[in-house]
Amino acid sequence: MNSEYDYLFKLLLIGNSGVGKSCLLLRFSDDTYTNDYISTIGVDFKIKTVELDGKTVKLQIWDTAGQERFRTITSSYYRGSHGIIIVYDVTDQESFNGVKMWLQEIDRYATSTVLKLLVGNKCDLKDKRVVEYDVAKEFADANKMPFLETSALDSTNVEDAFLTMARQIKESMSQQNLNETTQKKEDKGNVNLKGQSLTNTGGGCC
Amino acid sequence: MSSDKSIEKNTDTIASEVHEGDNHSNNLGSMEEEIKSTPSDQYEEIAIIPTEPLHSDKELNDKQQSLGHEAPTNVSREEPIGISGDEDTQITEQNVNEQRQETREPSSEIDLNEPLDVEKDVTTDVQAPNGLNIEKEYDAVKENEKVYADTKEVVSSPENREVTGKNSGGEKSSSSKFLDDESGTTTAANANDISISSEVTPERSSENDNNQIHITNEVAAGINLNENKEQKAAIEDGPVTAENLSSETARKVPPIPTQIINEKGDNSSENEVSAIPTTSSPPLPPRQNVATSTSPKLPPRGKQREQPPKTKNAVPPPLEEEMKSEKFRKNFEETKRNSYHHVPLTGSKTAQLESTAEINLIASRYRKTSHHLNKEGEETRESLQEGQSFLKSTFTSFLENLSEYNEVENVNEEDREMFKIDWSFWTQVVNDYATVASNEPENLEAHVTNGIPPQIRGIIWQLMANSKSREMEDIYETLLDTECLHEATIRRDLRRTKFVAEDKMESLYKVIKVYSVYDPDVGYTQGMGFIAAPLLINCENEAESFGLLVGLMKNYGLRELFLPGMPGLMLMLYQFDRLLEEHSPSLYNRLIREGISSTMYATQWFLTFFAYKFPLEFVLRIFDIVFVEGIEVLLKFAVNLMLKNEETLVKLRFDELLDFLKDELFNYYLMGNQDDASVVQMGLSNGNSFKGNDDGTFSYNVDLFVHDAMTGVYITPLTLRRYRGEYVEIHEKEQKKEDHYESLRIQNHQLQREAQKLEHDYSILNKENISAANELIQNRLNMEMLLDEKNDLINTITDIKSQIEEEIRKQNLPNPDASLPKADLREDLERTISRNNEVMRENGQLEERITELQAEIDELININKEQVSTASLLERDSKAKGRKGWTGFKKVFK
Repeated sequence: MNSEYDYLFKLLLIGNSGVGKSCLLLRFSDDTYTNDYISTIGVDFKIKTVELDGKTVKLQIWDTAGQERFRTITSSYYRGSHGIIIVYDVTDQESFNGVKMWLQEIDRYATSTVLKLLVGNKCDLKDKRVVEYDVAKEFADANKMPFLETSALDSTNVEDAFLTMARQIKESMSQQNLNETTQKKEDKGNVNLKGQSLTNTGGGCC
Repeated sequence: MSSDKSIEKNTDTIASEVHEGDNHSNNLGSMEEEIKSTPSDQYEEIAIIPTEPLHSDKELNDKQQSLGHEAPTNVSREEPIGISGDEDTQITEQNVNEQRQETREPSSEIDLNEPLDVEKDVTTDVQAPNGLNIEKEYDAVKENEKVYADTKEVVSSPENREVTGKNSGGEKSSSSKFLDDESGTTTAANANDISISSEVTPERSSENDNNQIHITNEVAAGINLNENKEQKAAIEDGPVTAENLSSETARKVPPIPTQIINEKGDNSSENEVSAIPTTSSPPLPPRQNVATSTSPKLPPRGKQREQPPKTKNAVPPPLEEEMKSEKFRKNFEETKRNSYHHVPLTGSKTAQLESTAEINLIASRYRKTSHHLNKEGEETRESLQEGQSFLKSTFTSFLENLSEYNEVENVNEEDREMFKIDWSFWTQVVNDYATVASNEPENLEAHVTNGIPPQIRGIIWQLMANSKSREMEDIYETLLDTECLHEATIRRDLRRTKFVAEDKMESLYKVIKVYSVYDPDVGYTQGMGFIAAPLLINCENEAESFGLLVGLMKNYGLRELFLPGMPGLMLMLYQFDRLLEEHSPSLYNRLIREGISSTMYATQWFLTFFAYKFPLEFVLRIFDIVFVEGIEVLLKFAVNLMLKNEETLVKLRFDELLDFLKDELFNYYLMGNQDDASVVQMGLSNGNSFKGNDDGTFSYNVDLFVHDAMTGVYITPLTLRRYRGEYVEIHEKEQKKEDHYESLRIQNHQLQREAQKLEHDYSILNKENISAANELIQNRLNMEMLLDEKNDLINTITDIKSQIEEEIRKQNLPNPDASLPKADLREDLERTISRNNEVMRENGQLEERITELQAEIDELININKEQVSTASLLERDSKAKGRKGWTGFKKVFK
């Protein structure tokens, strides 16, 4: 059942409406881009399998509606996530200001061990940029999360962003796993089982 | 049992009333003294009587006279039932369940009801004019149908009246203080009891035309409920006493019912019929009222109102007890039987609508709309009427054009299809939607299921939603230029909304923007564009579509779905889950096991009426049905889609499942995708299906889609309400849990901070402790050293001591040499002293000698001086001789 992959990670994309979460995901999962992608209502979902240090990692990525009102629905997806990617739009100061609020949301709904990543999207729009790299980097450092600038349009860093996240999760998992396996050596399937169960809890929570 | 007494009193009054004939007002006066809780109702009711049912009164009296004095006995006979009726209220839930099951098997046992005692009928109906039935209408919560005798008990028992009075008062904020002041324990079940009578009574008495009285009562109730202003005015104008009120209000209130009736058509022969739907609206159950129209302002409260916590407490024991009573059983059976026959029964239309509204979404929807209408102010209603007539005229001119076409006989493909349309039916719908909706909901449903003709779609939608009004259009124009917070967001999202051609984009933007200004609580929510776009496509102008949008939002309750927190959506998702579970437990379980919840895929269905992913042809047809049956019908479509795709769904795994649920469900209806059997089964308009999409690549059997949904899934307002109750309960619990969690979170936060602080303090203390420990060690070391030193010193001391002792010991020993030096020293000393003395003496002698010599010297000096002076004298005397003198002196001196 789990033979097709070694790890299953659940990722969540959050951020203000219109920052390009869906486009980012579309670029990553299908390597396409569309300018008139319809706004996400509720939650959307994509799967992508990647190779990471010789392991097959299945990424289950949840894309959420950015509008505040949908939080009733989206908030229940935080809990089962291994990693959360907060996206803002480098041409929209408001969306960057919102990051703080999104962090609070994570604090509130996600598990404490969840890994975070800050992504500034639309970095191809150089002349419209209002959020400087350094500012965002500083902010990310202060909040102890990695930071990347991406462009779903020209696919700069898109893959990197997701892989960074995946790698982080893998590391923290094997770290965790190491601790466990020292105690129970035969429990090698632990990772997979864990991933699987997280899927289920994620679904069942709403 | 105070209620018993009051029953007797009441019945006395009734009896006397019967004998007094038409003299209602007197009677009322006396009634009022007894029934203090409901004066306003009575006025209303009297007010109505002139509009119609005089003849029925007479009939009534005739009958009553023929019955003689039976009435009182009759009532008293039913006392125990009445009591049981009270307790009945506690078993509501059970009843509802039973009823739900049994409503599905419409039987034709009406005849069984016919052999009813006329006396009973009459008593009930006589009571009705006393205004008590009106109360029933207030609370017409139709979940439960009870013995009409129970109702009678309810009616005549003051306790119950208090309850209902409270219900209505609280719900409607009725201006009647009496009602408001009544604070009894409101039980939903009581309300149920009461409401039933309104259904049962007219039916049973259909032969007698008694239902007309009933109708008027309902009108009165409607007015009372919905025309608060008028009523208030009426009451305030005449400081009401029992005597004068009846006549006063009679003058003031009548215009309202007449107005309503006029609206439905001038045909006086149809008056009776058309009055029915109108009158039927008032009894709109408070629940629905809350859900659709009242609640928009206070949604959470509204919801709480609807929950049936009381019914939950209603545990069986009372029922079992009651079942021991023979009369109770009899009545119980009777009620059950009665309630199931409402649907097929066509004789009494009010009752029919009432009961159909329980199980038929169309009727329910229509009730809501008309209730909504009744809530509006007079101006609004006039404006709406104007709008209606405008639509009618538009339709007429359209029909005229159509007949011209007919004559031209230039029949192309599209036109031929047009002629297949049952224009006469649609004309009927346009001219008197009320009648159609209440009398032939099945027929209406069938027609709408086949699709509203696209040419008149906009007109029909607006008629059904009753949305067109100049007032609304004025609002639209006024708000058009108002600034709005959401402008940028809307613009951005509109680029991301389908269905709309470039040139209509601006219109769509305007409609949505104006709505967000018009309803700031909702503002703008993503997904609205999908709702507004189909409206815009089918309406003449932006203002009309705005009106429709407002209608959908406020009247149809769509607003709830878009409000912050999306309460309506969460409810609908819950209802969907339950319905799916009910219709296909295996599929439901399968999805649960795969970890898929309805929020993942159904959110977009309900928020956009399926427009998010579905092709436009589906969406328009869905809109058709929504307008006629309400947004609840989305559940039908949703459940149907799930059921049709069940085979595929159970095969898929999580990932594919979600994709399939989101993007491919409607592919089931791709042309040629279904087997022929189902096409035949549907048997209706095969040719009417849409040919091809905009893409031109796919064509769907939309007709089948709609048919399947309408026939395959059976949903009654009753079921939905039950689920709503469940949801509210669950939601409340969850809310509590959430709140609790939140408070714990905050507490945790504080404790964490405290812990941090303590930790900090601890580390400081720890440091202090360490330094103290170090000091201690140091001191210990010091002490050791000191001890060592001390030991050393002690050793030294002992050494010294021993030395001393040694010394002492030595000293104490006889010393041979000790005397020797002593003697020497003394001798020496003595010798020295004596020597010293000797030396001293010698010294003294020498000193004496010195003194002698000194004196000698002095003498000599003196002598010398004398000699010098003599010499000098000599010299002067003899210079030559002088030198010799000197030499002589010198020689002497020597």
